[in-house]
Amino acid sequence: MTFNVAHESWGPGRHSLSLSGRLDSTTRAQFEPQATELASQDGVFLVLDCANLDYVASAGLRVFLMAAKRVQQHGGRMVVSGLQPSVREVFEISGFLKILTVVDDAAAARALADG
Amino acid sequence: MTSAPPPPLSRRTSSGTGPEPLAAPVPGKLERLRAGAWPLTLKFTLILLVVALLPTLLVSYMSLRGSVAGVARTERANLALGASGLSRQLDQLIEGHRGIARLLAQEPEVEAFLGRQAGAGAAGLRQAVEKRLAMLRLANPDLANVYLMDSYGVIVAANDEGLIGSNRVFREYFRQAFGGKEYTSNLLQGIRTDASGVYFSAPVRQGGRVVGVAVVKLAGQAVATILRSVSADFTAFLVDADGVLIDHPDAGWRYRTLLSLSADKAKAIQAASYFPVEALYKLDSQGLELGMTLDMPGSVEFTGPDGAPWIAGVAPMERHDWRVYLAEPQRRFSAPIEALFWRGVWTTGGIGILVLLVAALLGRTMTRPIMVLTRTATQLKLGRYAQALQRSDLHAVARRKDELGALAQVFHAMGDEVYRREFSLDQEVQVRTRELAEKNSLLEATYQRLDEELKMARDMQQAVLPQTFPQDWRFSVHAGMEPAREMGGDFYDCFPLAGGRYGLLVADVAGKGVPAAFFMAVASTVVQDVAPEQDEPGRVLAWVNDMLCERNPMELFVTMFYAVYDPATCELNYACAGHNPPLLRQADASVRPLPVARDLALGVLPGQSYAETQLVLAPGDVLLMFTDGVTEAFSPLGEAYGDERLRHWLAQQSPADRPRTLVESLEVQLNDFMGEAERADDVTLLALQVIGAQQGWRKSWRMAARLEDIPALAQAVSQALSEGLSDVALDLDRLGYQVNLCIDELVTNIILHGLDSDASRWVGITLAREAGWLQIILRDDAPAFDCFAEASSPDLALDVQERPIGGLGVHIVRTLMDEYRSVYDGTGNTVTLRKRLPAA
Repeated sequence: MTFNVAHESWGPGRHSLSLSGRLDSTTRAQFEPQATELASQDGVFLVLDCANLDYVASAGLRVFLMAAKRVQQHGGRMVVSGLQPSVREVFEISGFLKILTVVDDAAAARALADG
Repeated sequence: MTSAPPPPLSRRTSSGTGPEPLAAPVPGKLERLRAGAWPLTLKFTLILLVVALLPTLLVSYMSLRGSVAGVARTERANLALGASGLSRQLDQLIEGHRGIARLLAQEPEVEAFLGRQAGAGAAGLRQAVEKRLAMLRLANPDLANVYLMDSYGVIVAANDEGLIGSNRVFREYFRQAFGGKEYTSNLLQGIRTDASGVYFSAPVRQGGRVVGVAVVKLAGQAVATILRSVSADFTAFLVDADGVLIDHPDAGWRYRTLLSLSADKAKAIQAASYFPVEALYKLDSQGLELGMTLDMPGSVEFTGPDGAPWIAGVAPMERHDWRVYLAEPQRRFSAPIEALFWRGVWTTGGIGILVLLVAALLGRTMTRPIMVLTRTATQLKLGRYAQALQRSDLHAVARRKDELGALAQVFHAMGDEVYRREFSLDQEVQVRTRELAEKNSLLEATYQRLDEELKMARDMQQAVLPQTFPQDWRFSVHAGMEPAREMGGDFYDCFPLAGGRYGLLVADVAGKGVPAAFFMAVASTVVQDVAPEQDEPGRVLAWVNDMLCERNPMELFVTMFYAVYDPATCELNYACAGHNPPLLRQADASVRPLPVARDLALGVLPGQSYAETQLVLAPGDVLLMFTDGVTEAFSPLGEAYGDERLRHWLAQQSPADRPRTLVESLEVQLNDFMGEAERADDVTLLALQVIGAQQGWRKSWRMAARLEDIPALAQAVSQALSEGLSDVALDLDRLGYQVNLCIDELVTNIILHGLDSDASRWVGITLAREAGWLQIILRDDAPAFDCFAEASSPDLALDVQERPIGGLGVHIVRTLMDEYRSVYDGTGNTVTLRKRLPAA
């Protein structure tokens, strides 16, 4: 099982990263630079779509947390969408559901940018 | 030169603490009756009584006896004399009247009257004769009758005309006189005769031929008058030749006989009707009977009519065959003498009382000083010297001039000396006691320090023994050691070995005290040193044995049971060095000892080998290892707890009881059994209980330390889970995710931090399913590292900016798994995770 990440910009300062596969200590490197870079843009609205993310380990969660910190520091906003039940459980255990904005799907995430 | 402390004779001792033999004996009731217990005064008085009064009384009594005897002698002589007098009077009376009868018969008128009776001219002669008879009667007032009988026995002339014509031819007095002999009758009172009397008859002869008989009757009253002439104090009575009492003032005695009459004689007397009684009864009086044998006047004693002793004088008459008795009661003459005697007794008694008083006074003057000395001595004995030596009465005695005064002075001086000696002795004792107390307290302090050190040593000995035991879902271990009062040499141990196995041992060093404790410490250390190096328990024991034999100057030895238990396979591999075999209780509650080889205890001989035995335990099995302090625990009655009781106890325990419960309850049971009895030996227990065992499904992987290989492992794990847990109703995807996530987190940690990503090293992963649990075991050969002990849980309440990056991995494992544990056994870390499976 591999890990992939697809970037899409759907408006000025609006970015979406679609994650798929397995995010662990090995594959984290494919995701971390891009996520950090996008999150560091001023006033960015970043959607991390996890609809196809099958697995996330604590190493992957670190990237989510780091990105969230950057976005906050730069006055942007980050939304996580489409968590599969198992992944969502890991998020919950880690307390991330409380500190991150999590919505059901990508459409709902984008709607937050307009609203 | 310090002698033993003196006996408690100090002045401070109060009464009752003296040695027992010095206490005055309390006399019992019987004791007081013995002469030895009598007061001195009493003895003194008694001596005086014996010496002075008793002889007086004896002499008085003897003289009384003598007087009475003397008076009695005189009296008897007097009585004999009196009787003789009476006898003589009676003799005269009889002889006088006999003479009257004789003279009358010889008178010529009488001869003529009787010779010529039939002739005429006799009227004048009759007149003369009758005148003569009347005169005779007048001249002798004692004469009752006087008459003349003719040859036919008919009274022809009488002073009483009424008698004339009466025929008395058969009377003895007629027959005798007519036969030519003068005759004197007995004192008769015949039936026909109204008045008693004595008949005198004499033959009247004419020319040599008896022509008639002259008869004179003496009135019985005359005899009685003589006999009654004696004073009223005497009794005189008359006895005839046959022993018949013919006269006696007492009518009851009259006509009794003193002798036994022959039948013929009695009949003759009876026929003659001499006496006015129908029969003659014998008077049973030997004294009076004796009087009948006397030829001369004498005296006899007899029992009087009043039953009292009497004496009588007896005199046989010379002129007749009668005997006169003159009697009087002894009382009459002995009474005044006795009165005299009693007066003497009373006088002596009075004097005696006076003597007693004097004796008592004298006795007191003698005993009082002795009592003063006794009281002083008692006070000295109690240690009251001041009181004893300052007594005024003691000083008063000491002033006396006699021997007692001298004794009191000596006594006072002696008491003074004793006091001085005791005083110096007392001071000596005080000094010595102080010294002793100092030495004692020094000794006490030393003992206390020693005791504390021993206590510390004992605590340390206890501390050497593990107090915590491995916590594992598959098995449970607990052990305990209750030391005896002295330091002992029991020990147990439980330590992890390579490959998740455990070493279990129980041992008992022979002997007690500090050497045994040292040896125990050495043996325990040697075992811990050797055990991780050797898999086989037999070789461990052999090695330990050699090491102990090398340095064993005191030639101590230790028995040991050592077992290696593998919880993964439930295999028990053990060896035994002279130790008692442990007991195995199986699920069916049967209890049996483990078979053990009879190998030598450790430390005896080097170069020994120790046989090993393998055994696979089953879930529910309990293995109880113990020292002989258990089976050789003794009750206060001396009964040993014994193997049988121990087996029975183990069989009785609930299968649900864990080793901790078993060990504690057996310790309580043993304490109850021993009660107050002293603990002779340490009591050491170690219990192992198999709880869970594998159910067969088990999957293991061995992967190189490369992070890239983790996804492949995850795939294999998911695959294995879907096979191994196919029968379990649960979301396998979710479980697979959780299991893989935990493995991922931990293996990543191990590879990055423990193995430095060195791909030549490896990590072992095992999945096992056992009794409702899924178990994940990770094994590495990294340095000791317990992630669960070191990583702290993240604070989930912090916001994004404050949350630290990282630290989530261990948190996730802790959250997802039900049990987690990391053990380092010297060769690497074993991480065990357990997840409860829902019931199938």
